[in-house]
Amino acid sequence: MALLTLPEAVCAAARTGGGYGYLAEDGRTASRQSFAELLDDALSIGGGLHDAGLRPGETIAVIVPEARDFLTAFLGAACAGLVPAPLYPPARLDQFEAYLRQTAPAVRVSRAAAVVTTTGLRRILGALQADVSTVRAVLAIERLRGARLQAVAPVKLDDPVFLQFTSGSTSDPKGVVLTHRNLAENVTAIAGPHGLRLTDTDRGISWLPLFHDMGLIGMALTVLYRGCFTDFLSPLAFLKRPATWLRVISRTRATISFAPNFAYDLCVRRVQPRDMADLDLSCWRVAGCGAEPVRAETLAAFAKKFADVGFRAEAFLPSYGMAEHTLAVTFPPLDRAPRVDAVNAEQLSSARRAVPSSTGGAACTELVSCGRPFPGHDVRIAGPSGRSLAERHVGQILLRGPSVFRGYLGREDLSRETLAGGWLHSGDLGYLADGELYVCGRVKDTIIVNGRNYYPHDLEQAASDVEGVRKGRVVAFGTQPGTGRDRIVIVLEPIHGQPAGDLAERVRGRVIEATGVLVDEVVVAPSGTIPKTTSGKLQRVRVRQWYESGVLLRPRGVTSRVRLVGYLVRTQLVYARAHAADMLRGLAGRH
Amino acid sequence: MFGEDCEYLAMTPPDADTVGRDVLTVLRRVCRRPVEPAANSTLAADLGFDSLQTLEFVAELEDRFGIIVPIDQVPRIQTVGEAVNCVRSLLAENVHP
Repeated sequence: MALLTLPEAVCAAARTGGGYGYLAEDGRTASRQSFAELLDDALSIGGGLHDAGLRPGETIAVIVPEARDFLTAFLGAACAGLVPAPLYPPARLDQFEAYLRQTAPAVRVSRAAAVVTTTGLRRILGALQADVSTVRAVLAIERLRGARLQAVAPVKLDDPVFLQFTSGSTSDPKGVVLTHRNLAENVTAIAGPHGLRLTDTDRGISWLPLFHDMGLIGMALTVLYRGCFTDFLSPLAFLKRPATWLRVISRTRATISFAPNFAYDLCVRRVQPRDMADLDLSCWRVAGCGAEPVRAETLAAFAKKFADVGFRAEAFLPSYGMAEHTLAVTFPPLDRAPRVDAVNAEQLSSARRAVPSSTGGAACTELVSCGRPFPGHDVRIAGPSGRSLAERHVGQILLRGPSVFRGYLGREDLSRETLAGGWLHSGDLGYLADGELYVCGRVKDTIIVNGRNYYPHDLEQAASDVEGVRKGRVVAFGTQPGTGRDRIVIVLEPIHGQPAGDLAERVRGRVIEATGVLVDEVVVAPSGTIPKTTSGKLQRVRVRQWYESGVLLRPRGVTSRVRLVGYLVRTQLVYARAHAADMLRGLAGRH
Repeated sequence: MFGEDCEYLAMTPPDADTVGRDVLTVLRRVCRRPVEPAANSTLAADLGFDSLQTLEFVAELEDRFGIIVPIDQVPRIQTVGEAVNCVRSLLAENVHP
């Protein structure tokens, strides 16, 4: 099948019976948009963008919260030959200063010529024009519809199609440049015979944010390229009432829906018997699970709870993907219950080998297979030297093929490093068994909570703003006790001699204000605990090891302070361990 | 949409103590651990709620009182007192449409 550019795909979709549906908070249909109507609207938005002085090839930031307006703006820009860069909209209007501080760096990196937003947000986002020199205008989508374009822009497959900012921290944003070819290859693989095998009769439902790769590419664009139909529910509507998602699947007889692991957990915990009375989930043939580590116990609990209302465990599709690979990397075969590999936990973490274990319990870690790469795409596992490892040996996951991105915008060194030797270095750790991929950790120190990536540096910066915290002596990391989700821990030192007081509480408050993330534990450590090094990464690795090994003693409770039990003895121990760990790392190479 | 207990729908504005007490009951259930919140306790910093728990709390309040808290009002509920006030004003709207 010939690959289509995004504007060509919108035109082709307009000739199908497909389209998008937009749901109200309670899950009822609020409006529908056939792809023919969407093309029409996109062409008038495209005309409006040209009227506003924007030229093909220029980038525009798209900051639009509502699905319908977002998709029309995004596709309108594409039809006009512009390169849209979707960015997170502000969650709260009363904290727009913090939002602007966080968003300006991404707009700057994107070199956007304009920001497209809504009339409501335009007043706030107007400041971006003053902050970012490339931005010539901040435009409201409601007033953008201009003289309809006569035709879509004649872009080429190897031109950039859009910028993804789902990778990278807010203070150091990385713009992933994807081409029309990347997008077409990946969505063709997702929809095709080794993917979802989508047909005209398939119907999707998604509550994933559209400025996130899984929501935008996985649902909206895959359905567009294939010419079928999907509904959109707002993320908040799902988070408020998870049962709404399942009710929509049941009512619309949806066949495809993707969500991160936490969403399935939320349904297990929050959906009440009264919500299940009229549910019939037998139509749901692909329940995709991705964007964060997939947990065997979550899938098992969900399948058990919803078996009575027609859910089949064979519908689960645990998958692996990343923004630098457009989206999807591996899928397991359709209609197969999740394949779970029970391995020896100790061997996995210390020897980096996945040794099958039949003991069960705490000594055993259960990992879920994410399947195989698509045709024309390769996955290999590399050791520290870069050489490929044998099956069941843990190393970095490297990827190759037509879905691999072109590079980070304006970051040649970083792009070269990430794409060294012709392979995309995912930063994730995993192993292969029987040719299937199991993901078991990260090389990078990203923290993933509820499907969103958080960067320690952003949390550390927020914590450092709090009075009484010693600058440069703040470390944030994620830790995974047992098989639970990442817990976020901040370890910090107070300014010398100052009693801790309510420091931990103030740090938690400041971090949630600045980043929206709730820190699970703040440890106020004695002076000299946190090693002084220029590498934040090394600092985090060491402190996390001490924390996990129990060297940093902590009482129970949500927020807690370190107890100074045997402080002297402990610091001796701490440095002895750190030294040993460094030596091991030196032997092991760059990991 | 609503849970079984919607008796507040038909009532005149209930006295402040009743609403406050019922909000606390819901709060403790969502919290899943013993807490003694005050009116000015913040959900996030004092009670350790993440954004998911805040939304669960709001959904439970809707079921308990038979109200709908518009999603754009959710971010304004930062403290226990604000939750109580939000419920009170939505109940008042229901009674005097």
